[in-house]
Amino acid sequence: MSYDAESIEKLTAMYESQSPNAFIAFSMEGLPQDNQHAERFDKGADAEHSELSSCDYCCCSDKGYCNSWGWHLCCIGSIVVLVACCCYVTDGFFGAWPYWPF
Amino acid sequence: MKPHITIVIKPTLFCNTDCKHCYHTPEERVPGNISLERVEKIIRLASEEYQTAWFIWHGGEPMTLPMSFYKDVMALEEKYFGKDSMRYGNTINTNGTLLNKRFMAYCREKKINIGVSYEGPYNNILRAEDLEKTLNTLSNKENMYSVTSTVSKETVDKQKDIYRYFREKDITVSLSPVIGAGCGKPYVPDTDDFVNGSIAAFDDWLHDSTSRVPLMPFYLYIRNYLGDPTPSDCAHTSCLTKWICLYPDGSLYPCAKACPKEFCLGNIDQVGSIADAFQSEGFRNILVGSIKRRDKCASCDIFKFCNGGCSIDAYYENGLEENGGQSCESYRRIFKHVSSEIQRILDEKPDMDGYNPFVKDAVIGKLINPKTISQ
Repeated sequence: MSYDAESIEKLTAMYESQSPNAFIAFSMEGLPQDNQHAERFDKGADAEHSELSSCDYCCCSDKGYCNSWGWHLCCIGSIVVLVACCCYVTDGFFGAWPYWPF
Repeated sequence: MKPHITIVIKPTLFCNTDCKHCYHTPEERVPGNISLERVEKIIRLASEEYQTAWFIWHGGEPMTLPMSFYKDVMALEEKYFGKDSMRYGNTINTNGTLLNKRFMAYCREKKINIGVSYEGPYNNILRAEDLEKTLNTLSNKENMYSVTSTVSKETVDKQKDIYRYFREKDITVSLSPVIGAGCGKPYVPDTDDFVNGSIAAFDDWLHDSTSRVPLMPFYLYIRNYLGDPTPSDCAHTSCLTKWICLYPDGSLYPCAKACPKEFCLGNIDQVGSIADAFQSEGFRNILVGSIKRRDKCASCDIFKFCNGGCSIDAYYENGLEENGGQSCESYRRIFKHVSSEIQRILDEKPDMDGYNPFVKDAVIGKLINPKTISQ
């Protein structure tokens, strides 16, 4: 049988008529039921959702990294200052760094 | 309005990994992201023409796009379908290498399912990345996710091991053979070996009474045999007119699986509706070929379950109009084994405590409502 001259509407109808159950079942499925997400969401399993908003600062990129070189420098500077303070408080990391001048 | 459509969107064909079996060639996997305008248009058209839509984010690797892209997309879906309207849903299929906790949290909030491609202990055969930590985090955070394990000729007899590996972690796994397109051709498993490996995995799962995960696609085969609709089993659900795929350049195809250009449905920039795309010459090409193949399938005793199988698989095997290729043969043999086991349970009504809880529930449900048994 040649199908080449048939309209697409007729071809589509033919295709559906070959497997009517697939399309009846499909209609029955029309509105998908909610998945298990809702259940988990409702029971509060995602209490840590707040991590989303707490990370939503301008200094953070989508990947959770620094958003710009300025923030990178700020971050590195903070770490340097923190290490220096620790070194000062512990008097050269309890002598581990013998060149601590203070 | 039509009832439902599944829309696969490839926001990029670029990928950060180099899986050996990819059905996109390296020449296709180049950088370049889809524009938000194109995404907005298909969301708008779907909301106007269909009651419900499921969006599958595919690729390439969809996670190479920033999270801001997905935030914009979710805002568009809420705009056109209505926030929390239950008219739409999303799945992201990813290689998992770029998933971070922040995006996982976002997926939980927006109820986005995650599909991870991973072969567990045999992952290094087709790819290089170790996803142990990522999967542990997804489980610990209770994300909705599942794993697809690609079965190659090297792992064809390891399907039971793969099931056991994910079963110990309570992760739903789907076993899927390499597609003989693009780079995948050298890795396609032998049909006999694939069938034997699949049956061994199925038998193990069937009698695993303490399992807490369904093993795909066999669980779908059982439901199909028992008369339940299984629309997510795209290869066996008469997918034409129910699925559509959008590429980064706006091209539309009936399927995401290495569709050749002769089946292109046009470009999202040029069509006025999704129905227009299903009026295209490309759609006619795949429709005519599929009808001719399914005419030949009509006398087969399992045609009402397989619905002629996957047209793209057939295209790469014996040609679109021909059945009897590897996918047809392996489905027929696996399905016959699965259905004979289920029919035996229905006939003999054995003590179901020794069976997998998913099988137990499915069979008992049908015994309680016998009118829905299709046999």
